Amino acid sequence: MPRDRKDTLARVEHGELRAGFTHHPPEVDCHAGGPRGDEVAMIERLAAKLEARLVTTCASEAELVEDLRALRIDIAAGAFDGQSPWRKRAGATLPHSRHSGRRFLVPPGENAWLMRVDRLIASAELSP
Amino acid sequence: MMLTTPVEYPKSFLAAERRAKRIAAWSIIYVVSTIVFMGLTMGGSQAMKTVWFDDILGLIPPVSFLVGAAVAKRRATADYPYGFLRAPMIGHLASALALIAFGIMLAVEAVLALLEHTPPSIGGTVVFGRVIWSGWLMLAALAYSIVPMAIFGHSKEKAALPIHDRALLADAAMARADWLSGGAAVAGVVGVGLGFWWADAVAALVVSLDILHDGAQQIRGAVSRLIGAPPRTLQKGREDVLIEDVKRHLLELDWVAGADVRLREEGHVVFGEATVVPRVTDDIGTKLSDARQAIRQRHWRMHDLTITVAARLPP
Repeated sequence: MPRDRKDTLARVEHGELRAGFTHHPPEVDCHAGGPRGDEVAMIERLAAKLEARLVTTCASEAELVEDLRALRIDIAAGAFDGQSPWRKRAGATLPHSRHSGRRFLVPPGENAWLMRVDRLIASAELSP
Repeated sequence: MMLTTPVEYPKSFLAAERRAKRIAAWSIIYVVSTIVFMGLTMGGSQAMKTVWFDDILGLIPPVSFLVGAAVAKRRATADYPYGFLRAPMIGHLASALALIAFGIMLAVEAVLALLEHTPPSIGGTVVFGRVIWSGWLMLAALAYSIVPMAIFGHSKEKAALPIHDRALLADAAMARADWLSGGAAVAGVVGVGLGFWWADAVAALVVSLDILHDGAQQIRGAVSRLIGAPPRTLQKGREDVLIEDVKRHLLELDWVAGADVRLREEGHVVFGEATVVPRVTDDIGTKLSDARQAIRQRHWRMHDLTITVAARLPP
């Protein structure tokens, strides 16, 4: 416990991590060719930890949340915080940065996946 | 003005009532403590507001019982010549309404959750530097609320029977609703952990149907008593033996040729009218007073019986 509803964790590990970003500089800058920034770097480390190939997209917050709900992406980043209204529509991780309280969003109900990300965040393995 | 005489409660009744009041008071203290505890830990989130609302609904039955029991003891006055004996019946109705409101809330939330189609996300919590699944913490918190509520529910039900208190019985039903919905939440958290996102809502829906049924029955019972339906036993709803007993007592009197009675509950006690057809009418006043006295001595609950003398029984 907990298990995933749609096996996201099993699919991502040693497979492909599909990450969605939304432009929110400086954490995420989507206007510089590919996405860049601190949060992008954390997602890159997450992919490395899981030995997964990283595939990125940039979209609006609303589009990212719909992509999460349809399981088209596995994680979304873009300076989402604990007060984000999107939290009701998707799952939110633990804060990955203690002082800003920023979080990543994950597909709703993918709780094994969420727990795995939460553990990596809490052990500071994604931090620079 | 003619005032209803104060009820002479048997010692056993008063002792049982004191016990029942203690249980109700402790349950109020417990519920308030959980409200404070959760307010401190969960802050002002939307989910928290729902939990608070449930808890406040849960406070209505024990408070209604205590208020009803206290008011019922007040003596009759010129403004209230029948006394305040019906107060527990009003408490019963208030508790029944709170119970059905609880059931409706639970059902509506469950249906909305199913329609919204957002599988619940339960992630990790950092406890002493380690990440554990929040679901385990939720299960622990639920156990903390379910076990005392189950105990309160059981002891309230047991305490309600000897004092014939329907408000307390409704309070027991509310405690049962409370721990049943907690049980549904346990099934929900475990279901979410196993990947069945709808388990939460489906379990709540099943339990809410049970609570709605219970609430509807309580409302029916409360309204029937207020309208003046004949006394019934508390649990099975059978006709109270009092009706047959009073009638038989009157018929066994040698000066009575025929008798019929009509009774209704007034909170813990019973009021009513009897019509008797006398064989002989001399000294009828004494005969009636004696009959009334004898019946009241045999059944303390038969507090107020008006006996009318007639040439024949009403149809």
